[in-house]
Amino acid sequence: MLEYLVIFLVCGLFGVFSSLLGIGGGLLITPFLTLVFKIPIHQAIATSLIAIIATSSASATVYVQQKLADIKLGITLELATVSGAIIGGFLAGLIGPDALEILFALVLVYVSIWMLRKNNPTENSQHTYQAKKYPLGFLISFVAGNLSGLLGIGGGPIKVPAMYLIMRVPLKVASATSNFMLGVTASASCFLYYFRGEVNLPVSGVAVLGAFLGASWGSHLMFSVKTDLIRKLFVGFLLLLALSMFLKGINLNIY
Amino acid sequence: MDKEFSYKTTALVLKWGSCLSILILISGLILFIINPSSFQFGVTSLGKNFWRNLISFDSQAIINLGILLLMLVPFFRVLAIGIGFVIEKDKKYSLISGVVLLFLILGIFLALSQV
Repeated sequence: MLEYLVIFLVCGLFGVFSSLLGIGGGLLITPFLTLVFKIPIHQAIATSLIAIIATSSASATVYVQQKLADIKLGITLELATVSGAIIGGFLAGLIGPDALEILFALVLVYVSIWMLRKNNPTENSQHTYQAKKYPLGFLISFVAGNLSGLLGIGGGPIKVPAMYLIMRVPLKVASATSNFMLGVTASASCFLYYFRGEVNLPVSGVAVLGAFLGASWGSHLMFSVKTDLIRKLFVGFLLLLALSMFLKGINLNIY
Repeated sequence: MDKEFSYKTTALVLKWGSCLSILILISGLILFIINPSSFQFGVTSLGKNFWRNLISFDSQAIINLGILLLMLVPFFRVLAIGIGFVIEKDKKYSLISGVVLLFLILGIFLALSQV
């Protein structure tokens, strides 16, 4: 019973961080369950995808109510992310754990670099804009969806820069729209894991509940906490996770 | 017709869908804490006895239901968006929502084919 309490508390903490820093909890849940509790990576990915659905549903409600998320842009890009996620989820069933762990480590390094360069959105999101370069946006969204299905991550660090830098969508709207899309993308591949029998019920139950409650609390803390220092410490933690996952992928366990 | 219908219905589906699934999940986890020995650790799928176990308030089946409902929330979210666009008479985005919904249904069928 103690291990479930630890999973609940740690996933709750991940939920707070993911909410404060605007990243999906999947980046942390999968390595945590795999490295600490030795849960097979496919089960960890399934847990992570369900947690993403829960946390993104909670935050997307706020973004939709405030009309910060662009539903039309989101649903259009979902064409690419959903198809990518289904293919990713299907491929994950064919790929061995070692290869997934190495790929996960590489994605963690990419996200760490992205987080160091990321700035807090300060521009006025209410000004009018017209999303541009849809074909390229589609292609990148497809890759984001594919990685989401394959590794159980949200794909925000891929979609947000694509929408902001390539499609010329304001950063606040890009972040909110990406968050709005997360749940649908995660759900598309989640069923593949579920029907392969890779959802570990007690672990998923406590992890999802912890992440949901943590993310809900984190969204209230967001306005009173300075995130710059947290972000830098977090990047160091992500790089440590990347190294651990890579070593596990090449069967060099350090724990 | 209210041009903000899709925003309102989407927010409602998100809010109540996630709340309901989390409440069911909490109920299952409370039953699990009360009687942990009844729980079989391991992986799962719907299983032959899912409905029977659910009626008998089996904690595993209740957690399973909560997780399944949570997985279906995004599906109903896209459905709500689609209905919103149909009511707003926005043909382009009604069609796009329909295709996304179709992809999600195809994904579920692909998942079922793996069983």
